[in-house]
Amino acid sequence: MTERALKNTWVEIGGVVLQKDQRAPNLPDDTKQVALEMRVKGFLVHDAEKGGEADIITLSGRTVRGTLTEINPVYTHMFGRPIPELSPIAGEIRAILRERRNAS
Amino acid sequence: MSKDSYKAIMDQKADIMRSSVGIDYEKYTTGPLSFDYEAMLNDTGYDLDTIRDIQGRTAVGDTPLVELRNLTELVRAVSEPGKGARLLVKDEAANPSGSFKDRRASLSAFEAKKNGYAGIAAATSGNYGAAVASQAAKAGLGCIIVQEAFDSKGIAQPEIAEKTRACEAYGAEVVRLSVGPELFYYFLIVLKETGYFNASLYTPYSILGIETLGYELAVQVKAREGRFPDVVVATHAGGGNVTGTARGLI
Repeated sequence: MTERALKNTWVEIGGVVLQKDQRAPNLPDDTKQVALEMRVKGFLVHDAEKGGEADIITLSGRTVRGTLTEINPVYTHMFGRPIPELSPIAGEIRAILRERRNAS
Repeated sequence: MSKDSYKAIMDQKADIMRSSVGIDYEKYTTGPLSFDYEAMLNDTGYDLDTIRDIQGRTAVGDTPLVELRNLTELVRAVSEPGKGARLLVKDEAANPSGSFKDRRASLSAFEAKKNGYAGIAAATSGNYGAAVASQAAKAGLGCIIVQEAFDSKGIAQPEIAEKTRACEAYGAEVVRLSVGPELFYYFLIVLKETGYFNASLYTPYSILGIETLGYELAVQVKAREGRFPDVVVATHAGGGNVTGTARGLI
């Protein structure tokens, strides 16, 4: 079942800005193979379905049309796992300082 | 999404830049390779006291000078006897949006407001976006940040994703683009469509805004130690931090 969002819901839309054959000249080979895409968030101007066409009003007041990608999108970024190589450093540094302070 | 081809927009670059910054760079060109940088900065009309006043209104600058006692001692532990400088750092994270970039954004926002622009825009994926968004919010200006944000699989670098969140929290529109130099193409489209002020990192306002950092540094070290610092170390990427800090020091 497709998710449906009501008018005025905070959503993200996306779309292609430049197809791969419209992109800037002199791109690296792998970049040349893909289109330039964009995503932007705003409030829905009308009811819309995820994956369908949607118009939004962004926070700056622009009206932008694209494909509805997310409804009330989640911020998913995080700190990730600690880096094992970095974990012992605090202890090593404190040991150096302790040694130095004991010596003086 | 746009009917303007890459070439069509790039051909309008000079016009869009002129109307979005209000500076005619050609006026300061003195030869094929020379440029009157000093005249360009002077023509902005902002002296150090004025900039300090403008920044003070939004709590930008006057950041604490902190002595790094542990680091100084660690450096001395590995240095030859008599070497290993005392390290002091300007805690620029104490600026409103968390970095020295507030200094750079503050003058652009002031200049945009003064000249009646409806908003400010910048193409940036880092701290500068948060600074522009914060300054725009304080000045009651609209704001658009254009980021190079994700790869062709839609995966975003966490540092950039965090700046997306920060800018949106400050009320800015964030346009996220996939990787590529056409970031600038889309940025020009945004400037053309909105008529916003271009808060580029490479305008004189962005450089002048950092001069207060060098000035504060000298004054704070003098007040604390009775002398000016022997050496000032600054990070260098695009050159703005080094140029502005050095100008403020002298």
